Amino acid sequence: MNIQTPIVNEKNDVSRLTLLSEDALANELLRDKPSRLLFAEIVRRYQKQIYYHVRNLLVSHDDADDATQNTLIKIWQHADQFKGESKLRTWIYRIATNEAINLLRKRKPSIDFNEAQPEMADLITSDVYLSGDDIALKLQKAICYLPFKQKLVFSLRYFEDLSYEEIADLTTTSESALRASYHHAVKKLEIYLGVLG
Amino acid sequence: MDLENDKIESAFQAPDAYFSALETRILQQLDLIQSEVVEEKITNPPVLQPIDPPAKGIDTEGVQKRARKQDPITSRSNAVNKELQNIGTFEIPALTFTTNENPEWVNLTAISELPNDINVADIQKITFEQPTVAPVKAEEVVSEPSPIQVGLFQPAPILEPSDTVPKSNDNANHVLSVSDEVITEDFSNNATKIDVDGGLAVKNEPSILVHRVPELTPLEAPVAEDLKIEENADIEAAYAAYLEAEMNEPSDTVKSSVIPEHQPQGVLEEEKTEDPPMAFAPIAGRQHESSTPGWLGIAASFAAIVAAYFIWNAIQPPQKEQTAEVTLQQTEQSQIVKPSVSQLPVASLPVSTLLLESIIRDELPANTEKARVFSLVDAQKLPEEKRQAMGELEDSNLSVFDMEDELFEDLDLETL
Repeated sequence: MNIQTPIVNEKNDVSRLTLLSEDALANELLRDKPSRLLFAEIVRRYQKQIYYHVRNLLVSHDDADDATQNTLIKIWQHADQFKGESKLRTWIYRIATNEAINLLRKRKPSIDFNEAQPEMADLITSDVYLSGDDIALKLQKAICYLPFKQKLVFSLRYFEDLSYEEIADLTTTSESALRASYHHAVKKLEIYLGVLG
Repeated sequence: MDLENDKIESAFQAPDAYFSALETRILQQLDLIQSEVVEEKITNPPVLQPIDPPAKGIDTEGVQKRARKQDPITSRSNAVNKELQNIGTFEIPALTFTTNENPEWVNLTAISELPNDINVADIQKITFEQPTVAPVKAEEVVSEPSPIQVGLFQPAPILEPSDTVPKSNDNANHVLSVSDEVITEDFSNNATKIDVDGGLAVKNEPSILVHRVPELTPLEAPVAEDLKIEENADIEAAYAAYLEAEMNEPSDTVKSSVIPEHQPQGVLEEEKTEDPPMAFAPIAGRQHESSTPGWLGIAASFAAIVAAYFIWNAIQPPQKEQTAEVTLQQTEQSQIVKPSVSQLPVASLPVSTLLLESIIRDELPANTEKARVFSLVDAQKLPEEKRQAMGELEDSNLSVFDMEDELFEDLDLETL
């Protein structure tokens, strides 16, 4: 006769959630209000992706840390708003992108997202948690000279390996427009890297 | 560079520790981590360590009493039974007082039930109940009980010249006492040896009279029979009579035949001028007022000052030489300070030079010590004649004018 205590059951749930795929995890989220274990699994699985995504957009570690924290909290608070119409990762990236935009607007209310923010390039060499690779640093500096939309598309496509479909869902933009935007971004970056290199 | 083919990693690389901390922080902020903490506590319940009871009850009454009564004389606390320490490890119950006293310390004076009788006897031997008894010395004196009280003042016997005192046949330094027992006591650091022989008191070196008076007095001595005083109130009256008798006598009168002839006269005078002894007379000698009149000291001081004045004048060099030397120094200084213009023959100088000389002389102060300081002459304000004179002075190499102060800026010296 096998009598499982609640502790054992919870451990089994943790193990089970860890082994779940992204779609299964989204189904768990859709089935009921997210439990503590489910949210902990989401945090463990997506916190790095959220952080690096907002870090590419905001450059500053402190801003990225604030945006990541706000994103995770909003996931917990608005989990019931996840309809399952998109992937869970897309939904999370969208929340994170909105948090980054809100933070930029809070920092600079008159910001124009169609233009670049070259002042962010100064943070590349002075901030924390930076790689020692010179090419990677030059690329990050070059990204700072891109307009926000191109920066967003390039970051999601190049670093986060999101498909154009996911990015289209995230940005509510057509895939063709995203392809063109990405193409322009790559060409600019290659020019910038040639100039910087 | 082909970004599509050459994949470049992101430059942002946060450590895993940061993400662990971020996860914990998020879960704590959402109050989702408390259950995990409780879960860990449940899975690993703390093991309660049994507390061993004390091996034996310990009586700390003595320690507490000793702490309350810090006075070692009045304390009556019980002793600490040190045998309990050999039992093993035990705990002393919490005390109700705060003290820095070491529990190992044992106050011997506070313990009344020491098992060793010898120690008890030693402790009782030192007591504060008999503070006036002389400790050992009184026991060492072997003599029969007599009215002589050691340590108490007794008036000195008055030795009248008319009294016939048998002179000792032995050494004068040793006199037999009443009981024919030789008692030698030293009362003044061996300064006075007192021997008693048949009631006779002979002083050898009476340097301190205060000590000599009380101990030497044999009350049964025939000399002092008439003046024996039994009451303390009659002491001063008797001594006053003694002093009066002495004052009526000449100072060089021999008071007693037992007094050696070689005794210095100053000692006898000291005896006469001695004040009446008091109960607590100081040991040190008393200072007497000087009989020297005050005007003599003033006169001596004045004479010393006058002598010092004459000596000082004697050792000084002659005044004439000094005056000549000062005059010579002043002459040398004036020769250095004075310009060479004045030494030139007046007839050889031009008229303008003389004018300039008069100007300079007017500027010179009367004191030659300050003659080196010249006031600047503003050439622009000078009349034309004086300007010409200054130019000729410079042409004659008699003076060099400095141009730095721009006083001669408008003055064209070449045209002069």
